Amino acid sequence: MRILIALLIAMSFPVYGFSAEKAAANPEGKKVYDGWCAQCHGYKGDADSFTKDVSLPQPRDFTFGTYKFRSTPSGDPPTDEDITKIIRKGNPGTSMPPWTRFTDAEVKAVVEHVKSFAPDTFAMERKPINIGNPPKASKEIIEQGKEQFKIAKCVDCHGKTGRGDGDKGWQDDFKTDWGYGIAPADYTHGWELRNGSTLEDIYRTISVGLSGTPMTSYLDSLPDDKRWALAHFITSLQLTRKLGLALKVGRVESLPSKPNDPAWEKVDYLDLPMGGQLMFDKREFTPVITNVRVRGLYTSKELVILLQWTDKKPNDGSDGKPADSVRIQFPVKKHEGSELPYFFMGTSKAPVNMWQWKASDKEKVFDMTAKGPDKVEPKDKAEATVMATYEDGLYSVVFKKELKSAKDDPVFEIGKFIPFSITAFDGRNGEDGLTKGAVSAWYYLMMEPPTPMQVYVFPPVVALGVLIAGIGLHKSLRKNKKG
Amino acid sequence: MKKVFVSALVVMLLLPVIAFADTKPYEVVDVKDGGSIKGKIKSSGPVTDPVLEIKKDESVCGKSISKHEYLISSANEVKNVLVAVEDADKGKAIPKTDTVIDNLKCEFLPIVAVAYVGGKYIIKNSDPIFHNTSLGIILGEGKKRTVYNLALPNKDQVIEKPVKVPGLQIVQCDAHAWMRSYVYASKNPYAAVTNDKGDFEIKDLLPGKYKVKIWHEGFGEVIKDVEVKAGQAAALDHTFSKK
Repeated sequence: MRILIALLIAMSFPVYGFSAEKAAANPEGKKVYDGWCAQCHGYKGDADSFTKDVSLPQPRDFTFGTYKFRSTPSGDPPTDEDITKIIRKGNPGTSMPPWTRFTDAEVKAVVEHVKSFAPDTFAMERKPINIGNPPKASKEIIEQGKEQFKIAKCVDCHGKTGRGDGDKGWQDDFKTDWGYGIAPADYTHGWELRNGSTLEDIYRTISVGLSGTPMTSYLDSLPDDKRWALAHFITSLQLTRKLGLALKVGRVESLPSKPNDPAWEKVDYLDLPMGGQLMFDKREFTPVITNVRVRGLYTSKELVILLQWTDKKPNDGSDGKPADSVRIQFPVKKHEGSELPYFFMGTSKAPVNMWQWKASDKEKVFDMTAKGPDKVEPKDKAEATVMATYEDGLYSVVFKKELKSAKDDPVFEIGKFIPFSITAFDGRNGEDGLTKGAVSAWYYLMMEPPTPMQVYVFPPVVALGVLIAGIGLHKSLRKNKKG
Repeated sequence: MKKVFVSALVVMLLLPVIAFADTKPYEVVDVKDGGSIKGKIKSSGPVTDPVLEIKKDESVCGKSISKHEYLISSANEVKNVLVAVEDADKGKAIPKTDTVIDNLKCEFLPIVAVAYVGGKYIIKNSDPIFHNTSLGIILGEGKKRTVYNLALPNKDQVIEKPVKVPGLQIVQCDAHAWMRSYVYASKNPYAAVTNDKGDFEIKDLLPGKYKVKIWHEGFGEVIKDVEVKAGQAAALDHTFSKK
């Protein structure tokens, strides 16, 4: 009888192990997955979920067996560590958060469950590529990388300065395995690089590619040293974001003549992280503009504000899609205390002033007063002028406003914190120049008051006084010692 | 009691076999006096082959290129039709032939090829410009599962890769959107592509009933039932008509 029971137990193993109901083999993984992952990735791993229409990138459909983020050569599935890494660290810039609440055993079980959605894929052998020791950064290696960037045709898709604006490499209909559109990465925005932005991350991405996308693998095409040189060059393109609350606007004698004037590069800046506008219809759940860099200068007569952001493909509205556009808003009333108008287009109690530039009307400022998204009134005469350029994937738009005396124009008072916020629109992404776009929070700009003359007179006088007194004290002390 | 043991044992041994039925590996056996499948694929009428306009790397690729999708003779015989006996899980040894995919004048050649699981892809760039070669299992509705995506930045660059994933794949170059070809990675030796005269022949099949896939890029796919008898050639002709 014991033998029979033993046999029955033995029998039950193959039944569970090989049956179509794979989940039963890993109840722990299924439990965690169904509880925490399935809401986006689907109970069957097919990403059929409520969130698929409101996230960009969309949640991964695991049933394809295609994995973008791997440490393994093109054609091989990812290692368990690759999947674990994404679960633990999340995927920056996407809806995938880092999961720290699970134990290592739970994560392991989830990894097994995720793999069970594409059993064929994971039947293959998996071995990460050897990363080795990266060569040190140097001017020479970055130069070599720059050369390779052209030779290996990275430039075709990613553009001369790496903003993802390559003029002949990519088409609007670039598709992933999953059938949705994709654009080349912007190397200047390290925070947008899903596969990581460190030197090793870039090297790994160049080597093994991103499966399911047009990003191809160079492991067999370029020798190791050339891939490292490329990685060094690409890493060197990344912007250092300067985050903060306020922008210092310095006073100058004359203003840069163009939006792309090199003189701007020396001017202090502030980076504004952008997010989708989600409060009013039409909402933007899937914004692509993630950063606007702001600079400002003023003279005795004028204030200029430069806004710069990446757009991989410009739209002037002639191709049936909306025109690219940017808008800056200020409170209409002088800002006092801590209360600010509602962040998006104000309210009737606290209206905002908006200057908008559109790629379809390059030299015009659409000047409006807004008391809310549905109460926008154009002004008869624009109080600002505008100049714009688009170069190597970068929009540069300069608004210029005449400075009247502080009395006449209390909003733009020198030495005060002036609230402003930005909304930017990418026409290719269907952003309409109205409400569907990427918004910033309120920030402040301050026109630094010119340094008063006293500053140049008093400190030297005080310093001289201290010196004389010091000498006097020294002498009197020496006298006392002798005596 | 003994009978119970025996039947339990039998069930136990059979269960994995049943569950694994669809992923059963191909079994090589000695095929003596096998049969063959032979036939001709035709079109109900002439179809004009599309001409593709080229707006990139014209110095190498030219200004336009024939798609080579509908290669139809004056007698309406169709070239480049894939014929595959997908459900043959037993038979002669798989050939040790490698499959060349060449990037030549901004076209993948051949347009339709058969590769064998266990063999190799030899991917070449014969052009002095960058190509990438991306192979993906066709999943329908414009979706696919990437098998390889390899960069070939230089002329005469050759990359060899093992054939691991079976199925019908589209080959694409992301740098040149019009470039495409097809590779059928076969688990068995029983697949063929029609010649200029629309003819194909698949030899040395074990006698039995098979489902045969007939596929063409433009015309689509049909599955036909064929019975192969020992020492005989089973006829399999098909005429596609353009929808």
